[in-house]
Amino acid sequence: MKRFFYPSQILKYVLVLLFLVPLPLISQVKAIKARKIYTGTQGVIEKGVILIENGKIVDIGEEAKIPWSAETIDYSQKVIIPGLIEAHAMRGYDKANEDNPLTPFVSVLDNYDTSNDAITDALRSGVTTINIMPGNATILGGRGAIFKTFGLVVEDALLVPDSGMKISMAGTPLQSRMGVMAQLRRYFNETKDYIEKKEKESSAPKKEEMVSTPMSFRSPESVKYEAVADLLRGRYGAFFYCPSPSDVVQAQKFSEAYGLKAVYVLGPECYKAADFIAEKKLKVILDPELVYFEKDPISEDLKKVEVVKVFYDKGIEFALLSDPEKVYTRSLLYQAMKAVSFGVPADAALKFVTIVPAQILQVDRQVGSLEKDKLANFVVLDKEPLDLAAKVEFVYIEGKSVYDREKDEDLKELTNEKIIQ
Amino acid sequence: MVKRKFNPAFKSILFLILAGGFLMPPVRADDVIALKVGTLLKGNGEALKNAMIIIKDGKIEFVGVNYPVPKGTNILEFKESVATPGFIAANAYLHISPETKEVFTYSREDIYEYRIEKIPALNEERSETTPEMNLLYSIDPHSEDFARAWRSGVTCVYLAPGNLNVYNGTGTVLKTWGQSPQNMAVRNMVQIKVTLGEEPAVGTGGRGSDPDLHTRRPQNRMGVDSIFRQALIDLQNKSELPDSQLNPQELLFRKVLRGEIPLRIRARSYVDIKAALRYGEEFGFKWILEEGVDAYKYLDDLKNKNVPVIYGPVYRPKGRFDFNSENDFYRAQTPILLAKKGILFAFQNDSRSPISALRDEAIYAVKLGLDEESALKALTFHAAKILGVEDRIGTVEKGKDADLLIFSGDPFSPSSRLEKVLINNKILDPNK
Repeated sequence: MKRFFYPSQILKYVLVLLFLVPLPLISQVKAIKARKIYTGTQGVIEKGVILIENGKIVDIGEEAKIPWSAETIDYSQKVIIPGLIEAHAMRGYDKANEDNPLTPFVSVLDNYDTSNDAITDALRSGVTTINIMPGNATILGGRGAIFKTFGLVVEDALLVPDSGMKISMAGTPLQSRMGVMAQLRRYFNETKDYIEKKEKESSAPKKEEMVSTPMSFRSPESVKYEAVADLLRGRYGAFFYCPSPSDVVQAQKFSEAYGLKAVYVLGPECYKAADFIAEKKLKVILDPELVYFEKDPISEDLKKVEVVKVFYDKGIEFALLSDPEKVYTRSLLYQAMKAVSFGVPADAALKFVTIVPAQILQVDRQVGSLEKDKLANFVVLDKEPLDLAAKVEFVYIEGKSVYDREKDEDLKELTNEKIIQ
Repeated sequence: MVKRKFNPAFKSILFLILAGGFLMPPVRADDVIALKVGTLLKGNGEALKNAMIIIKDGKIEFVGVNYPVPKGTNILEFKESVATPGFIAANAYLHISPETKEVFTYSREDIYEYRIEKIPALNEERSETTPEMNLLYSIDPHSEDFARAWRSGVTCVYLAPGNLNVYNGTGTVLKTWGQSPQNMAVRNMVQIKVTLGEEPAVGTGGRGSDPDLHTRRPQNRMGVDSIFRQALIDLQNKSELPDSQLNPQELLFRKVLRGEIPLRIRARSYVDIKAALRYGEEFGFKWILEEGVDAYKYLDDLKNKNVPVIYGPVYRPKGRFDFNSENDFYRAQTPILLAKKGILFAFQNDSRSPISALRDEAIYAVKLGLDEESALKALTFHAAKILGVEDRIGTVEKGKDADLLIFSGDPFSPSSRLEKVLINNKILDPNK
């Protein structure tokens, strides 16, 4: 009889396997040298090194020891800044809003388009983290999510699945503020009753309903209330869209009454509520329009308000937004440069597009600055970050080079590097 | 005879008086503005460090390094700052008219809204050929858009009637600050605006409305072509008649054919640019290309014919192309190509880019590779040249209007702040 397996043969295979198994376990350390590293929170390091392992920063500093096995990438002529963070973006999908004014159960996870032009443009301009939110035209607009700007599969690009619930104080275009507040209160009170009922029914909620991914809503009742219930339980915060200053006050009262974690997405006119915002220490995201022209109702004279300056002078920390629809708000770095023109110091302006938005989105443990144990998301520039001539040459997300200017054919088309020599 | 010798003391006093007469500044202290700036960019490519500018009666009296200012003159010092001439929008899209129109807009699928809004551009609907229209007296000098313009450094704009006729009317160059259209105007009736292509064919009878007997329009480029040529050929046939026997319209066309007034041809598509080049050869008029979105396709022809180009906005958001559907592609680097080719060009805004973003548009062009000198020239000197008003504005030189901008740094860095705006004699604070 022929035996299929001889013990010696099996041993051979086992030995080969034993050699193969540790190969993926040996992690590659990357060492990135740069002329200047803006850490975002701990000042600037001249001639610095970043050590990266498994997508995270292991060490950063002037004389971080480079291990012998490390793959060294030399950017010693270049400047590194933390990856920029767009705190509130209403792009990257087909449509921003549902027609129904109360749709808390929808999530941008279902309509986020990873290959959208807006996302590739964001990556090109140095944005590595983007919070995509539903639009402003519904009262309860649904939940947003925080994404990396790279990866085709939504799950690969995902950083935080539920970043917050969008609540618009303006409501739908034909609604009054009374109606908006009444509908909000009713929905939240009903949800409170639902939570109480749920707690009575079973001491612990069912496991699948704990996870607030869209697929978890099973019963019609849970579909209706679970998303707002999670908001009341504090799993995520509320993003109040406040086009006018009085909306800020209303939203603050509302979030206090229901114990919500609130972020305020302001319209340009909200500079009038700056004192209130400073006093209550609200987390605010400014409108991309940094200059607000206001007409005096009596004299009809135009007044120019530099919104950034008003907020900065009050000592408020805010996140800046960009809007690629307009030339003067086209990218976050451009917005930071504009902020400098209004009197904000350069280092503070850089914070308003990196660490401050990270704090507002509560992802400052992962991103927002270049520190040990954070994700290795950074941008390699050829000049100082707030110089107009600075070009985004490389973008790294989790230690991987995901953008290379040399290989960006679209940009060459725009700048016509092919024709102009 | 006794030769009388002058007393040496008397001699020296005489010398002092004579010399003093030459050295004494010809201006008094009270009607003079004296400016000291760190760097002066004159607009024509020259730069001057630690410059001094003397302004008298709204005109520049002196530009240089040192000038003996009379005692008591208030010298405004901006030692770290950069001064440039006021920016000129060679074609501006502004809401400047007090005229209104009724609009219905659909805000949601089932609900429509009715409102009355100010119309951005004036279109005379009674005919296709209305070159004698002039909008100077339809301008509201207190319009919001003027206030936005000078607050963002645009001290001068070119305005013309709308673009839904073939011959739309004559354009006006005016300052953005003033109390009445007359004292704002730098020069009136500088160019005759012509629109080629799709827009006159779409017509003034209301976009999308059915054409009937009374709103019959040219339906396509052939119709526009025939109307354009008809007007000039009619006049060529009257070449024997003296000026006195022509009506104002014909008189304008005669000036065009003589080369006294250039045509400003709005030709967005390459088809229309080609048509305009052909008309230029046929009738021999001077012309300027406005909104030359496709200008990059005919750089050699435009250079050979000395046709200036007005281009803008430079930035167009992705996925949003022109409403005309004619140009589904544009070249943001057109300014760079024009500058390389040595074609005179200037910037403009349009309905999608507010006038306050004119500087940002130029900054964007600089970001894409346009050199700062060409960008500044396009905003100032070259724009004035194209408009035919370079004797009054466009550069900081003796005898020109005192339209000045004072920036905290490089005007093409978004981090520098516009600190002061001077229009004629008026010192304005743009940040209020």
